[in-house]
Amino acid sequence: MKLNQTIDAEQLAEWIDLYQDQLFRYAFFRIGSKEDAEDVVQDAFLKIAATTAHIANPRAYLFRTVGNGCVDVIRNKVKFSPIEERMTTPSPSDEREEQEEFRRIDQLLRKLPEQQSEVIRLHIHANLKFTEIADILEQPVTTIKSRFASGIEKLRKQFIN
Amino acid sequence: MKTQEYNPQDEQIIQMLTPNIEVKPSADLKARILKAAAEQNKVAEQTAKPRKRRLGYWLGAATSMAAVVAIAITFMLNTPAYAARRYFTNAIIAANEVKTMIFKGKVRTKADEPIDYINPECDFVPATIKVIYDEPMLWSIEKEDGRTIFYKGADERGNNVYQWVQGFDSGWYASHAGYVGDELEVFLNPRLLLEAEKKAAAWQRGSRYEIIDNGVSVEVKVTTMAQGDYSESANMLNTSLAEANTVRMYTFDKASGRLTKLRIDMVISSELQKTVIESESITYDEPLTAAELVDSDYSNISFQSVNYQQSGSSPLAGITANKAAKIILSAMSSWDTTILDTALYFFNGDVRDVVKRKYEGLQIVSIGKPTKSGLYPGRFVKCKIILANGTEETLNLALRNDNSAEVWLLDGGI
Repeated sequence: MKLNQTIDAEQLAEWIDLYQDQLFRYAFFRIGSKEDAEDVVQDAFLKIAATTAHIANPRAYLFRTVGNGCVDVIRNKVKFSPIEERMTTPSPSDEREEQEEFRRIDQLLRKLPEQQSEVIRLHIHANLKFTEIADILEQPVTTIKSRFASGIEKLRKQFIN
Repeated sequence: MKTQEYNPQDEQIIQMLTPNIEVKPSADLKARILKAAAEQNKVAEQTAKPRKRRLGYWLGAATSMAAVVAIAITFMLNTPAYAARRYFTNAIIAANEVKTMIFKGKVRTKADEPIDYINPECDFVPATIKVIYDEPMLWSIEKEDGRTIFYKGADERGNNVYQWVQGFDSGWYASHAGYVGDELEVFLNPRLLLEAEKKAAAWQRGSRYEIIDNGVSVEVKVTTMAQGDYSESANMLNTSLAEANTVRMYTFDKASGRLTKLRIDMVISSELQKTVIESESITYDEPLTAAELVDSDYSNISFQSVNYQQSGSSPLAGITANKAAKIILSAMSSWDTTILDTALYFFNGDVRDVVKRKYEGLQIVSIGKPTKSGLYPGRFVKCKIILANGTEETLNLALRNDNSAEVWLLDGGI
């Protein structure tokens, strides 16, 4: 099954095996909805499958696409909240725990600038190394480490000291 | 959990930021992605083919219908947006096999207003859409006792779309290429409609989805947001499908994948939702010829081009919309045809006579600031006038100057 000139189904399946769970965790802890997180992850894989451009770093491409997808979901949720509220149905009990966990962590990360919380999410939730995050965010590793350290320090000052 | 060691002070914060539970995607996510990718590839291949090959799809109906049925039965509905995409994909495949469609339904509109005008305050007007899926696609939309618009292919005037309002002796024609834009063609062609919905389902730009499986049929409920900018004026909000918050209910036949029912509600407020379009029947592959597309007789209608061409200079060019409104209203007062032959370009024959009878001798009381609203390319200007019979009236003139000479023309509001 050929998906396009460069990416076939086997290649796509391999990428799904490698990155799906990391991408999902990253998306879930950004938007707090399993359903939306799965959609965003699926869309990222469909996008990479449809592209005819050469993808030098599929992991970076996928994380960037998922990151953008999460921003869209968050923006739409804020923008269209009256309709959202009308359409929202209560979560099943097994999802409630996950959503509570999301809220707990999100409340902490909301206290930080986006650049710092983004690095923390990618490092802690997506399990990525600083060098991998540097590739995704297209920043020097020193910048990524500095953002991580600054974010953690800010939270430490607020919650521990 | 990272194996990396942090300094003890940071460790405590990192523990706080680390999830205490394992969050995993659905077990079948991989399978769903692979299936969707394969289907995306299939649809991309089909849409990339030139439309002339459409007949090829019809001939291959038996094979692809079998595939559609198989897919329909094996659906795993895990997330509504994903499931919606799957239904739209199937319906697109089914739509490729359709030769003709006749949609009969009702629309909240004014019978004589443009075809895409929809207003939740209006009563329902019966409407019929007929389409012959050929190359080119031939179609008509008729509002009962009101406006008709049709395209029957090229004729002696060129490749044009025609429209007129019943009861009047003049109508308009416009280039098919320029006229059939996104919304109208999408409305005529279920395949495009479904592709637009599928795209929205893929990116979820403000849209929400619900799936209701009724056994033999499936309802996909889509909640979409108004397009356009309403920061200056809400004048155009809820006047067309694109310019409204809507809930769209599509019913698909599970076996064939075909769209069998359509209902569109406008969301007026958080408490009020009103049905504005509802199908009564959607029939496919009825024998239909180009001659049968339009029921009304239009042999005595005088059609003129909507593409305004300015010869020489015009006092209605290069000015603001409210200045144009003042010039036009003044000209209507004295019925100055040197101005009105241009300004009332869209009002011809006995329509113009009706305008003359009503507005000749008017007095201007005030002219408001021009505002932009929604997707309308022109401006709206609120004006207070006193008619010759002494009646005070507030008009919301729709003026547009999106012609090559940028001349302001009256487009509506009287």
